Amino acid sequence: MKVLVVEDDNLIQALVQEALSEGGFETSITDSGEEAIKRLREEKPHYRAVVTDINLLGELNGWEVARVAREFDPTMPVIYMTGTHAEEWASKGVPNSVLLAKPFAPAQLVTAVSNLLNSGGPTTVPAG
Amino acid sequence: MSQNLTSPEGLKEQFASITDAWALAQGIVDTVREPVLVLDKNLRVISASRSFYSTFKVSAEATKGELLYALGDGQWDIPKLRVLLEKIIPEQGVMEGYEVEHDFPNIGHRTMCLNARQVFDESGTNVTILLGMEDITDRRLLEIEKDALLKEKDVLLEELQHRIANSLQIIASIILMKARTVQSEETRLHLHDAHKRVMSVAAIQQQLHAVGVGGNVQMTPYLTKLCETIAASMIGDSRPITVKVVGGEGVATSRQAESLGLIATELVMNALKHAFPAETAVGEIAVTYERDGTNWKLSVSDNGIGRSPDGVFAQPKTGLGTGIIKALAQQLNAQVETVSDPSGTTVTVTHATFAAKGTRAA
Repeated sequence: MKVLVVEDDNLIQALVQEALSEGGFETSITDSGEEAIKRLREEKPHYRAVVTDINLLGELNGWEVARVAREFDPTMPVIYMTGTHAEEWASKGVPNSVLLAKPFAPAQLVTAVSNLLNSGGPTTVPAG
Repeated sequence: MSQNLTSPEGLKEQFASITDAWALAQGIVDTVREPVLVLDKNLRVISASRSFYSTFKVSAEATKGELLYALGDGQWDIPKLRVLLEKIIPEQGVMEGYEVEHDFPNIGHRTMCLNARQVFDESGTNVTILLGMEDITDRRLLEIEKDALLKEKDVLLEELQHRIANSLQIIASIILMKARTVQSEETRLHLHDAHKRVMSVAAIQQQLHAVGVGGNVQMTPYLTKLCETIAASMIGDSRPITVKVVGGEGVATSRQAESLGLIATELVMNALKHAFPAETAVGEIAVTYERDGTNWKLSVSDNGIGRSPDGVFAQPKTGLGTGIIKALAQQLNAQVETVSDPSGTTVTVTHATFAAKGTRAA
């Protein structure tokens, strides 16, 4: 199963994809919240985690994407990536999610995804 | 008999004739720039200013003697106006700054700021109501436009910060990717150094983002967060080194804080790289910021070896990092002083004169 990556910057998409690929994860990438939700709705058995930026193309932001992801699967691991919205995580983030503040090292992302998947109970400690 | 025209008695003498008094009153009404209505106790129009006729494009003939609410085919039958004239004014006698919005058929949508006042005659039985109007439509539109522009500015700033964070992410990632591919160990070390500097700049930007341009920064929490970031990336589990921040409630402007953050980052990174050889028992780095009026002092001290066996000082006298520190200190109009001996090294950056209290790592 794949990790759904939602990121509006093409270069960061490539960097995240490479980092997760080196960590042994397949990815599905999109740049808009609307498209992310469409994929979650239509393909949800195929996603094992959601990695999402907060600022996205379209009307929806990453907070909303994660909320919808949890509606489809309450145990869906969620990792947020952001450079500017870290202070909103406590109020807008879904429970038991991880937030990585940009810039983060690729290894931090792989570690975060692995931890959430392996533990089955994601940490609440912000990384980065 | 002398006339004192500033007293009621003086005015009564001069305007003993009702006709003269009426002429004066009408003259006042006509001179006032804003539209004014004079109403009787039944809210019929006794008189109106010329500006009322011109503003609302009505004639005197169609206005005088008419019930206010019936003017202009009922365009003045406004619920909020009824509340003002039938409830507020009878109870309070005076009302100022009462805003009413309405679509007038002849002049379109308007926001009017109304002042109203009851005037009683000497017997107290007859009442006249003065109703003044100020058209504040344009002012309100400008306020709405200003609010919209401020919101747009905030959105643009957020987007800019988002782009900066993304750019730093890209730069940091590319440097790391390159570090993995180069053959030379020295080059790899330099690239890792560059990566750490990018991460430090990003950490500073994140800390200062919340403060905003021109805001003041609480230095102790700010430096604490920075040092935590540096320590997390540079101190492995096997290295018994701690970084602590000591300080009171000193603040700095966001511009000063940015430079001080960069200086502290360089000094802490230098200490971590050079002050503690592998066999170090317990290493401590202390970062202190003190402020007294416009004077301030930033110091970074360690309990390391001062100078390594190969001659490298914990805080090198040359090199990129030292150059950065000197340039930033010069920008801050501050002096840099380094004291190094076998018990450790302390670098202080001081602006103006400051009585040293000295917090040295144990």
